[in-house]
Amino acid sequence: MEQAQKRGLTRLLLRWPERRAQLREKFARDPGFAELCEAYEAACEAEAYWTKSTLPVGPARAREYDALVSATEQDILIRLALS
Amino acid sequence: MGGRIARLHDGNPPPQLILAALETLLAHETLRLSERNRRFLSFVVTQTVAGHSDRIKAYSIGVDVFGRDDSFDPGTDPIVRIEATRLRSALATYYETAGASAPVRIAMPPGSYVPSFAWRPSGNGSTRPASAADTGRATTTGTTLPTIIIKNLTDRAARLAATHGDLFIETIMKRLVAAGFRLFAMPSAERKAAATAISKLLLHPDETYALDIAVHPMSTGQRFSWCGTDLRSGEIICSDFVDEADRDAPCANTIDMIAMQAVQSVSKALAG
Repeated sequence: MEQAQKRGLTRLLLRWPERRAQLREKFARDPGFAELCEAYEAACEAEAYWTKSTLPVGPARAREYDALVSATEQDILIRLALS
Repeated sequence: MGGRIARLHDGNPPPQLILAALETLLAHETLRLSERNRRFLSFVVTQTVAGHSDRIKAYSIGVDVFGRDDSFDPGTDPIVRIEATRLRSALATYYETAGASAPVRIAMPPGSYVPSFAWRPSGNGSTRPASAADTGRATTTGTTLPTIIIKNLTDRAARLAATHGDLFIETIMKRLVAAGFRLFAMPSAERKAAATAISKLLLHPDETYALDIAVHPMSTGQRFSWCGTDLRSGEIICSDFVDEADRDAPCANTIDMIAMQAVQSVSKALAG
């Protein structure tokens, strides 16, 4: 779990380089924020998985997770704003 | 809503307040939740309140809330886990901001989809009622007074006491309204809509207090009692009684005098 949280944080550091200090600081002191990072990682991985899937439901799932990645980014920005 | 309102504060919030809190939460415009996450929250809360928390699993949520079919595999389709985290974050943000004064808290502890329910933690441990300046509606003097929910607990089977209880509460209500308090009377069980409206009032206890009154028949007369309760903590803020032992049937003036004494006691406790 902790590794997934860190992978999610790494993605976010790459996504928003200008917010790196704020992201690291929030990650270190807000367990809820670390969980959001993990959820972000899971959404990104699922999007990649379903994008490659050959199942009929694959494209729909990929679109769903793409939207979920964006929605989770918004949650993260809101959580950051509460710093 | 039988029994004294103060009993609602024994232990965890009662189911009707949890459901009212859920309704308030879902209707709040600042709660950032998608439509399906609102369904998710409703599903886990209602299942838990109904005693079916054992049915709350990733699979059942995936099928019942997120529309997955029976081939749903949470391993490759982590929708429930992700949305649960987003839901936890939205609830935490809500209770840190717009919902900070919400007395009943709904949370979903990490690692579980079964929600927990709790009363709002007291900020400073104080159980004193809020000052008049913090609560309620404005009076003609510019101060503000809280809302009181009043209930007559007199045994209706004791006919004389019941009659005197009616007179007692009438005078108390008249005086409290004149003093500037906002007043609600606990309705009978048949008046469900009014009871539901009052349940919602209980969700804002910074502004709401319970006042229970009763007339008890005794061997040599009657006891007129009153009891005010701080709905945030359950603490009794004023409680007293007057024994009218001289005769079985005190005149209306006597009842009015006792009611005035009760009103002064309540006013002093709530408005200082």
